[in-house]
Order: sequence, then C-alpha cells, then structure tokens
Amino acid sequence: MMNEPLLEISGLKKYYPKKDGLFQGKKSWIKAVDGMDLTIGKGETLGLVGESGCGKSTTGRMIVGLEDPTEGTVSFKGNDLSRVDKRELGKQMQMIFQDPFSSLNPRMKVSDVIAEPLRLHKDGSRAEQQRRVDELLERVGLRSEHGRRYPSEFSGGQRQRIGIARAIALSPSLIVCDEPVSALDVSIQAQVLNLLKDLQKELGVSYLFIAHGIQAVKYISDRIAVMYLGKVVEVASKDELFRNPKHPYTESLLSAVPRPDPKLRGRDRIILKGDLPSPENPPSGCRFHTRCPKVMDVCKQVEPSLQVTRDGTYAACHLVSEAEMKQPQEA
Amino acid sequence: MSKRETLLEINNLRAFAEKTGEPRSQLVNSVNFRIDKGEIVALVGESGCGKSVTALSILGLNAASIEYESESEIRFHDENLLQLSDRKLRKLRGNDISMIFQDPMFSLNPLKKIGKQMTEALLQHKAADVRTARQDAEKMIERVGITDPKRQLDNYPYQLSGGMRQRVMIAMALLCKPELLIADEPTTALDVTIQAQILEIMKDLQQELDVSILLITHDLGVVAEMADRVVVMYSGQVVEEADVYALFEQPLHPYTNGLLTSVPTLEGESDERISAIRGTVPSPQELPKGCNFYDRCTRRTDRCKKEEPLLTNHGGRNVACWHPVVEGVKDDERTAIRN
Repeated sequence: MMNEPLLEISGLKKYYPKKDGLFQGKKSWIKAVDGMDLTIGKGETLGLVGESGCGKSTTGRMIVGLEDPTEGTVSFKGNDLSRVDKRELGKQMQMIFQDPFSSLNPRMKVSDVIAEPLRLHKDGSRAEQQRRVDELLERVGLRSEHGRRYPSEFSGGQRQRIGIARAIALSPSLIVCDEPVSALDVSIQAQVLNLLKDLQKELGVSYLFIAHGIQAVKYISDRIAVMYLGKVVEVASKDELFRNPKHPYTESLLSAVPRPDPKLRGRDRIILKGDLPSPENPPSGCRFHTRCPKVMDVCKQVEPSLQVTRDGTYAACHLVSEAEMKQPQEA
Repeated sequence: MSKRETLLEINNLRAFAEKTGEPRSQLVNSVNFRIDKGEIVALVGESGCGKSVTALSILGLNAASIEYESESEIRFHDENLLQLSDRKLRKLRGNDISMIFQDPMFSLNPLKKIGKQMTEALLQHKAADVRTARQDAEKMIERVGITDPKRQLDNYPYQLSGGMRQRVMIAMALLCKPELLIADEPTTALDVTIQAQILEIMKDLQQELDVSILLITHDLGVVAEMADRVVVMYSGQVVEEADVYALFEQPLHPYTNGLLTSVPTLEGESDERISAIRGTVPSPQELPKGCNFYDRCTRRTDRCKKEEPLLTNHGGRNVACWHPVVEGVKDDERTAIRN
C-alpha cells in the first residue's frame, strides 16, 4: 500500500509544565501530545485532523525541530532526528504556517524572503540565486517583479504563495503545512490547495497537512490521521475514512461538518455533548469516553491501543477490537 | 411559501469611508434586501465584501468615519434606523435587535460575573426587579444547554470555554426577546463539534421564540444548514439573492457558482480537481467601472466591462449579472442567452 516510509514517528510525547500557585509549588503537566506513532511515505500527503488543543500543531513543530519531544523519536530517512544537525534538516524539511501575515518578515523584500534559505545553505552564486527566486515566484503564480515589493503589499493568498515559494526553494522532501488555508477566503483556498497539489506532482514532495477543515484535508490527502486529546484515534486512507469511519470520534467529527447542500438538512447527525476535556487532566481509559455516544464500561478503565483492522486501517477503540475478534479469522 | 410580514428592509444602502490623503473607499454600494418575521437570512461573502459593514449599520455601530449616502435607508417599524438618535438606538440595541459576534471574549465584560452582565441588560430594558431578572437569566442560560446554571452565573467569562461563552452570548442576546438577532460569524472561532451544538441551539431557539436572524458567514455549509434565504455579497454589492434551496440547486451569479464549486465536497471520490476562482477581489478604492467581478469572471463580455449590472429579477430570483448562469447552458454558448 505505502512505499518506503520517509518519516517515522514512534512514541512521541510533548508535555509542557504548568505552574500552579503563587510559589509554583505544585507542578502539573499539559500533555499536548501523549504517545503518537505515525509514518509518512515518500511523495505522500498525510492529513492530520482534530480539534483545537488535540496536539496536531505540536506534532508538526516537533517534526521540523521547532520543539524538542519530551519522549519518543522522529526518524527521517532512517536517521534519528535528535542526532541530526538542525541546519542540515532545513534542506530536507520545511514548514508553511497558517498566518501569512506574521510568518513573513515585513522588513524584507519578497525576493530576499525567498532567497534566505538559499543563502543560508550557500546554494549557488548570487546570480543563480536570483534566477532561482524568479523561477520560484513564477512557479507559485506570481511575477518576478513581485520580488521587489514588501510582504505588506500582498493579499493573504499571495502571501501564502510567497511562503510556499520559500518552502520549496531548497527542494525539500517533506513540507509540514500547518493550517495553510484556514486563514484564507474560500475562493483563495481552492487556488492554494490546487497549487500545493500541482507542486507535489512536479517535485514528488511529501506533505504533512495539518488542518481542522475536513473538506480541505480530504481534498489534498492520501491518508488521514485523526487526533483527539494528544493521541491518534484513527488512521485510514481518505476514501476508507469517509466511507467507513471506525472510531466514534471520527464518525461524529465527519457528521458535525456543515454540508453545503440544504437537501441534507434532515440527515441523522451525531451531535456530541459537552466540551473537550482539558489535556492537563485527560479522562481515564479512553480519552473520548466522556463524550462518546457508544461508551461502554470498559472504556472508562482501559485505554484502547491503536490496532490494525482487517481492511488495513488503524483505530483505537474497544468497539473496533471487539468487532474484529468476533469475525472468524480468514485465511 | 406564504407571504410573511417584513421586519426589516434595507434600501439603497451605500456607505463609504474617507480618510484625509487617501482616496475614498466605497465599502457598500446599493445594498437592498429585506428580512421577514421569523426568517433566517444568511449574508454571505468573503472578507472585505461589506457584509459586516452592512450588519453594523443596522445597529448604528459602524466607526464614525464611515458615512452613508443620503438616500440610504434601513426601515424597521416605520423608522429609518440610519437617522435615529443615539438615545433611541441605545434603546433598540439589545432589546428589539441584538447582536452576537465571532469572538465572545471581546463582547463580554471580563471583570463582571456572567449573571451580573445578563441581569443588567434585563433591568435596563425590561424593568423587572433583580430577583425576576436573575430567574430569567437562569432559565435562559439553561435553555442554551449550560448545566448547573446557578453556579455558572457566578463565573467570570475567562472561566468558560469558547463554546460556553458563545452559549452565554446567545442567551444574553435573546434574553430580552428581540425581534431580530444579528449573528456575525457566530461559530467561526469554534471547533466543528462545538459548532454543530451551537447551530442546533440557535435553530431551536429561533423557532421557539420566532425571532428573525441575520446570519453573517463565509461558510456555505453553515448557510445550507441554517438559512431560509441567502444574500450573496461581492465587493460591496449584493450580487445574488435567493431561497436557499434554489441557490444551492442552481446559482445564477458566476461568483456564487464559483464559490460553490471551490469547496471540496465530502461526498464521492475526491480526486477530481476543484475549480478555483482566479485572481483576487478588487480594492474598494479602485473599483472597476463595470461589473466588480469582471476580472475574475469566466462569463464576461465587453458589456460587463462597460456597464455595471444592477440587481434585477430573473425568473423570480434576484441577480446582478449580464450573463447569469442558467442550467443547461455552457459557458461557450453564453451568447445564446445574451438578450
């Protein structure tokens, strides 16, 4: 199904200390990411969805080395990232951020913004770098004269294009895209998504596409991982995930998305009760049990692990393992 | 559908902003629509299209630097809201018309307990005594799905989650039983499972209290779930207005059509490419002479460049376009429907 893995995450955790009280006597931990395993294949797009505070951005930041994991490993092309020179990493991995307004230096001309990674890595002569910048600008749908302007002169969509040009400047093999279209208008979102898709076809780059907008994730991803409170609850190919979600959280997440078709109004929807619990003190057993419409006694005590199901998807739910057990084993 | 009574009518709303040393920006240009009693009207458009300026003009909440042309009119109970005195507007706000915003943290007073904020509004408009006001607040806060209302009324806004705060805002906005609720992107800042809860509450309460809602949003999914009628705005103008079923079935304006096709769907196989609308919105300081959508349109002709299309009736629906999208007519055949 998947060709050779480019990136492998195992047992990844990130805890942030939270200081309580005036004298910081009591210390608790916010478990932003609490034990994650994932792989991303070469040339593949893995979508990472979940609600705010589920740890999806923290995961992305740990992958590119902006945060150090509390525990666990990230290995890239077989090398443990904690032992790789971070500068070297920049050639291989890049990141695109959500807010195109704050992720570009306002005092730098656009051509310098894009040329910066080339200069840092001493890639080519000055003239070659300039040629590369012009080429990149054109590649993302801007014109070379745009390079002489400042980021403030561009709209949100254009700034995101500039961010993309900078990210692909060194031809990385993985780009972590953290909510790259959620700040953009609908018609502009489509432009940027199409651009990312085209670039992938051309450059063979892998994406980790982090977003809460499920439609965009479906459009761009090959596989999708769903996170809830610091853990992956389901991983499946996108068609399988939408056709047959295994985890009750995935099911309710998909069902909650407002659909642009008034004829679907009367459909059966799962409306979850209550708020997301705090990652500081996640519920015992299955973290979703406080909101799960299918909760059983076992869910309150035993944490389900991510298990492979017969159709090759992964889900962390007692119901799924039960169903799998009941099925007679096929040869 | 039976004819309903009109509650609010916006006629020829034109608003502009003028700063010294800068060209005048046309923010809203000839906006016309009405809201009937008990109806949910969605006002849709992308950032900068003038939807918030339009909404804020109803309550007289736009910045003082924004001015209206003299023929602009917002009729509500035989009065033109644009000409109402500040005192009268204050009486109207929160009582006859209330508003909820995208981020409830900005609209709640961080230093006052929820209960205090809620009863204040009641005491100001409905002249009840403190005890009944407190009881009303409790009832309302329970109605929006907050458990343990007595305790929650003693909380400060920061002690609540985003979803809870938005519930409190809705409870507060509906406390005085207004006739119109203006909801400006009420669920945009919320997670999708929380959004589903809030939309359900809004819809239930709307039916229970028979309040009209002007729902401002950029999310076509939210529109399809909630609205009876849809008003689409593009760079300061209403470009299309239709019943929600008709609009999603067959949009008439190329912009509406483009918006609908640029959202990836959740149904079916997903490898087909979405069609984006090319280019970007024109700046309000340099609007083109003809149709504002000209630069981005796939159906444009010379006429669109020269003449500005006005909102006109097209088979029972309103659209501002010289070449509306008509079912069964492809782009390359558009000359056929030119007359």
